[in-house]
Amino acid sequence: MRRGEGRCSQFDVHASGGREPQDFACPKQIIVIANAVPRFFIPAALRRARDAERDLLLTTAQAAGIILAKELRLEFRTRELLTATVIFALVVVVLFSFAFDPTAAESRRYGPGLLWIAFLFAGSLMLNPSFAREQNNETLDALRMAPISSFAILLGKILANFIFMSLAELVLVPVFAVLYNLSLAGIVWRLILVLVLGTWGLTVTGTVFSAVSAHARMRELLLPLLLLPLLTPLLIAAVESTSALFAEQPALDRTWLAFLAGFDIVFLTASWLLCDHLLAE
Amino acid sequence: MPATQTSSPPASIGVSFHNVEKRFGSLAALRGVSLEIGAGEFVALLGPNGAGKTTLLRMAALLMNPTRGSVQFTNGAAVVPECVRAQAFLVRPKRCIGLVGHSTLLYDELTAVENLTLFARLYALDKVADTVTAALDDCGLSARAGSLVRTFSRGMRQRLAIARALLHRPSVILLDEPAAGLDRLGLVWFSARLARLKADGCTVLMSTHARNESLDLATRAVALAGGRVENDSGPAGDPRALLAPLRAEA
Repeated sequence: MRRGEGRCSQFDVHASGGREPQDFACPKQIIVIANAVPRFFIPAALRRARDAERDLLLTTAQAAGIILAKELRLEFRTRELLTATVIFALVVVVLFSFAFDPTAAESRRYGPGLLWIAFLFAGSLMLNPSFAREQNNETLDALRMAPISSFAILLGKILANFIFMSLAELVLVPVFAVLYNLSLAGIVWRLILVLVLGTWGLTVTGTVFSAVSAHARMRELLLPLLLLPLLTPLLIAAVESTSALFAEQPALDRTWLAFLAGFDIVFLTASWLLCDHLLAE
Repeated sequence: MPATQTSSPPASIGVSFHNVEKRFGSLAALRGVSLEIGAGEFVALLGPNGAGKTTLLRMAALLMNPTRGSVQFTNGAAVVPECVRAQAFLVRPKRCIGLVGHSTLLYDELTAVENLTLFARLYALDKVADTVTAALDDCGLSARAGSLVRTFSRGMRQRLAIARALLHRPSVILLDEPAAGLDRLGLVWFSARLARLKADGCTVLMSTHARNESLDLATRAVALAGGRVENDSGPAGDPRALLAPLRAEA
């Protein structure tokens, strides 16, 4: 990014995709600041210059908050995603319990895997419309035209999907515990930690791929095809962490927990770095 | 702290297309379009379907990058206030652009007031409630402010779409068939609104097929065909010769 000084300025959109304002009346003072450089690494003056050039009127947090509020309002008005997701996940858990009729030992061994597979399937169902429903009236264009960062749009949707997924899990986990005869006593807070880390990774990755697949003709099929293989490491870590909690001697497996946290950080950072490309036409 | 937008009149901004080419795979939607649109000009974009009007407007709206060439936004020094000039004023196109597209760019499951409030907040406007109320009054939808947009007729949606596009007082207004769906009263309102924007010095690019009063405001007409500029009345020329066949069509 470049910034010039002078009384008459231009703002260019080039074939390369980059936008660079430039002075055409006076000699240029050029400062190069990559969009990907974190704010706290940049001196305040340059930070203001960069924000001015990117034409951001709100901070990412403020803009994401507005998008989040919009997503919540839309969902709680229509209840399209939540209802479908909860019912689907419940059906999966109930069908598994009927199909296997597990003993207590089998429940401890296979239950966490079945639970996370139900979350994963429900998640791929829920996350698909996240960007697809912005296609109806091309509302994503309106968001992209607003003077906010692309990451704010993505973050608002990630937070909304995380809330929806968490609400679905809030219903699902007690039902799962009853059907599989597993006790949640004494492990609730540790289980919540595992669920939060696993769900965050699922929603970040799922929302990103929802943006990728939104323009595709067979997006309903494309999202699970892209998402499920990529989430395999997350699934393994989440299942191992949950299994350790449901063992006869419940324990928090710090190694798998650290893996989950690492997965979350890596994919959130990737989505932040790639958000401009993800939302571009 | 992020700035909030004040209600001062918009600064005039011009748009320049320099040898712009846009390809979708093997299909060339635009083939080396060069146009200099000065601040405050009202340009009617004409041409048959597939001429490249929408692609050109979407590029000016920063929704699409050219495959080759560049799009530039310029502010004339004469219209930049002294206090702003002292701060090395840079044109900030995103907040300066308003687009009325083929689609309404509105959420069907939100009410009219919720839609406008959402965008007023995203543009960091001052006095959001007052601004939204004024916009709804202006487009004649105050009585339906609390109704979901999906319950609106086509014309009402279009009026709300226009109100949304103009909410943040853009200085470059891009209109893609804006009169579609508007009834007689809607057209009169829209033309009067455009006349006010033109008087304020806004730059307007409007693609249209049909005759309506707003065409009388055009200071220039550009005809596109096959992704190229076929005819241009020029900034100082008379657009009526180019607009005449269009009027005869209606």
